[in-house]
Amino acid sequence: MNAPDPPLHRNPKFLRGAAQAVFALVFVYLVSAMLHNMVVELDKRNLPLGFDFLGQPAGFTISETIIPFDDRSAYGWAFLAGIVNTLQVSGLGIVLATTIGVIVGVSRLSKNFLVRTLATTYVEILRNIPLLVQLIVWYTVVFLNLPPLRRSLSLPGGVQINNRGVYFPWFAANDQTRTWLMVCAVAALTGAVAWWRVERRRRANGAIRTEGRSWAQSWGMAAAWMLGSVAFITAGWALTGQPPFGMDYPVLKGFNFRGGASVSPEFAALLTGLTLYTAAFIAEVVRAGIQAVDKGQGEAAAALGLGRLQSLRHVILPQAMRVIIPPMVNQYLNLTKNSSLAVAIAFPDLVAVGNTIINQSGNAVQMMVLIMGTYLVISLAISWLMNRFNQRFRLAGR
Amino acid sequence: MMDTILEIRTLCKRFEPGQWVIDNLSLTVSRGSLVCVLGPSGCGKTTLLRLICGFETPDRGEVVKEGEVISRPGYVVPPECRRIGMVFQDYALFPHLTVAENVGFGFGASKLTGLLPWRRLLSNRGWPFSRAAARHGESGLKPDDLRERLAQLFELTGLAGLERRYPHEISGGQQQRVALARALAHRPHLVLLDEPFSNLDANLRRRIRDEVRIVLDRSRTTSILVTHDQEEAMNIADRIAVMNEGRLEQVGPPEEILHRPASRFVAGFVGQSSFIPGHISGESVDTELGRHPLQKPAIGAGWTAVEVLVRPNYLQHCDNGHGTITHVADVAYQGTQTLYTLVLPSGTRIQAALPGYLTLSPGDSVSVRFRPPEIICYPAQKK
Repeated sequence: MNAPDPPLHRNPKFLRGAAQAVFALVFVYLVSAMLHNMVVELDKRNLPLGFDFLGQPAGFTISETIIPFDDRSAYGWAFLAGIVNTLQVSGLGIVLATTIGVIVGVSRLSKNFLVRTLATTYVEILRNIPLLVQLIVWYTVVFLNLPPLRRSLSLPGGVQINNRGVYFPWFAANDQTRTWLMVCAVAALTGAVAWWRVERRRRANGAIRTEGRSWAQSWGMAAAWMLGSVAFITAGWALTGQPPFGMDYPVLKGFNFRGGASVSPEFAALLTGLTLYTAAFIAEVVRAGIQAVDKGQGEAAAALGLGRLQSLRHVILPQAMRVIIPPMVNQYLNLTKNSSLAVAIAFPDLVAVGNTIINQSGNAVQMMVLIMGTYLVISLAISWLMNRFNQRFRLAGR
Repeated sequence: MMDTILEIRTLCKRFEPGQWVIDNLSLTVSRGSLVCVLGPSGCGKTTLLRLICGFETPDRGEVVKEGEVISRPGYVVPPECRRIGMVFQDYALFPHLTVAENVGFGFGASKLTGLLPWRRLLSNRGWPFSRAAARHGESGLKPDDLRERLAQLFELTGLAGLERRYPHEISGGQQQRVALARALAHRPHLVLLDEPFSNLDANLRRRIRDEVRIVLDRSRTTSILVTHDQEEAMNIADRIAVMNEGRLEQVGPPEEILHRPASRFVAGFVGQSSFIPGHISGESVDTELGRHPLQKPAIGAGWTAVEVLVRPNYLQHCDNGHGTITHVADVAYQGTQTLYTLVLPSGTRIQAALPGYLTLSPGDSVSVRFRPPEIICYPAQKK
């Protein structure tokens, strides 16, 4: 006999569906009410809701840009200059913070008392002071208080430091540079292909990683490669009478240094602050990752005759990576997002430029959407890259 | 002529003041032998291994390998320079490397990295000293030789075919063998095994134990094995060192440990044993199980109250009524024999192995006779 259908209020399927429907209705109502309110208010103030303004000339200048920019460029172009500045400072910051962070993190586990204490002090001070405060200190106390132009600090290698920024030598292209770049690209490409094919054959022959090349072989290869490239460059130089590229040194001319490349005090302060702050967190991530590896692993490596650095490199770190990478991604994202504090020390990142555009054109809604969207895209891109990197370490596991 | 490979001299180690984990321990290991350190858990066995391996620093005494001091207070040759292999209790295989890579790490390590030339200059193997390395039969190997050596090892340990698996993809017994192969790879002077079979189930344990013994014999490796399982020690060892509370109670071949225990602890810990009180008068000892002559009167000299060792097989069932009447307290069937826990009239409990055809149950009375090959007794412990 068929049992009678249960009443609706006892039917889990119906209940679940009903709850979702109610939630969806409330959500749609709230969102549409907010949008409606916004459109009505913007209309009252006679503000358009399109993105046409991005094509209009900006009429303001940006203190430093990588892409060419002047006050006749469009708003959109100004915003793009801001994005590039943000990407530059975050990219450099990620690389530097990782380097410093790994060194400090490993040092925190050192057996040397002085090294360990210094590393701990670094971490505890840097990560417990708000980044905004640190940035302001770096900017106003350090970089703006450097000696004036005429009394610049000269570092070896032609680097000049003063309160207008850091000036350093940079490569300068000459007639030969293009040819050389092309030669290098072709060489790198063929080298990579050859390497890949040799590796594939080694693998196919059943080689294992530990058989690697002998010490003499690998250093011999490196030496041959170095000698070859030096000989090649010398030959080319002798033939054309020009080096592959020239060096351009900053020289004091008139009211400023000419030549070379420079970064502003704002950029230097932001990069220093972001890097040192994030490195403190990365150090903690690295330390936790290393400590998460079973102590027996290090002892097993020692019992096999591996020294401390060898064991760190081949046994501890590869296993620690699995623990390190996910929180490391968080730190990269934090660094990128924290770069928006640039606004406090007048570095023209995308938030600073966006603010200027809002003040001038009044298109606050569109600009905020653009700013948020940009950060979202950058962050998702970093996550995606790191996830792919992470897969390599997840494969081998317990 | 047996030559000594490892000598431990009056070694002491403590982790907290006043608590000696290793207490004045001396031990000599001769080349090619397998010494079993047997003791209850917490007696300091693992600490002893870690001292030999160089993971711990002794507080007193020294460890000498091949005539060279490798550990003494304030001077420790680092573990990686000792050429002492170790098989850990949990194997400590490298989870991110394949079986072949795990094993290959043993002799491929210095080659693998090519790192830090100055370290190689300082180390006693590899490039600048490759002749010395060749004499030692390690490192300085060409890739082909290396592969051959790997193949040999896999053959020896029966791992052929598993080279490309990861440790989590093979069984416990196989992991055990990988750990052993890895420890043997760099031809260590000495291999230490820390409770190597405790993670295996009983059947597998027996098989792997025999295999390990064969592998160690064939590679003519000197080894020290730590265990709390006396059956394991009896089966595998050339010599057993019974350890208790940081001290060695007795060192000797298995049969000597079993039949001539040097102390009451050894007698109680090794083999199934019970004790009955006895009283020495003249050249014999009076017990509840009768009066028995002492074979070696000297042992009992000066003692009066003693405890006499009773092994289950020292007791015989006697059906003519001349024996001592006891009551059955507990029964454990063991195939052809049955292990009974018997209560003597005085209330002392002893264990007796009696033939399986006697179907006694708890409460029954049975008459037994004490027929030890030799009376073994120790001064009675003061209550």
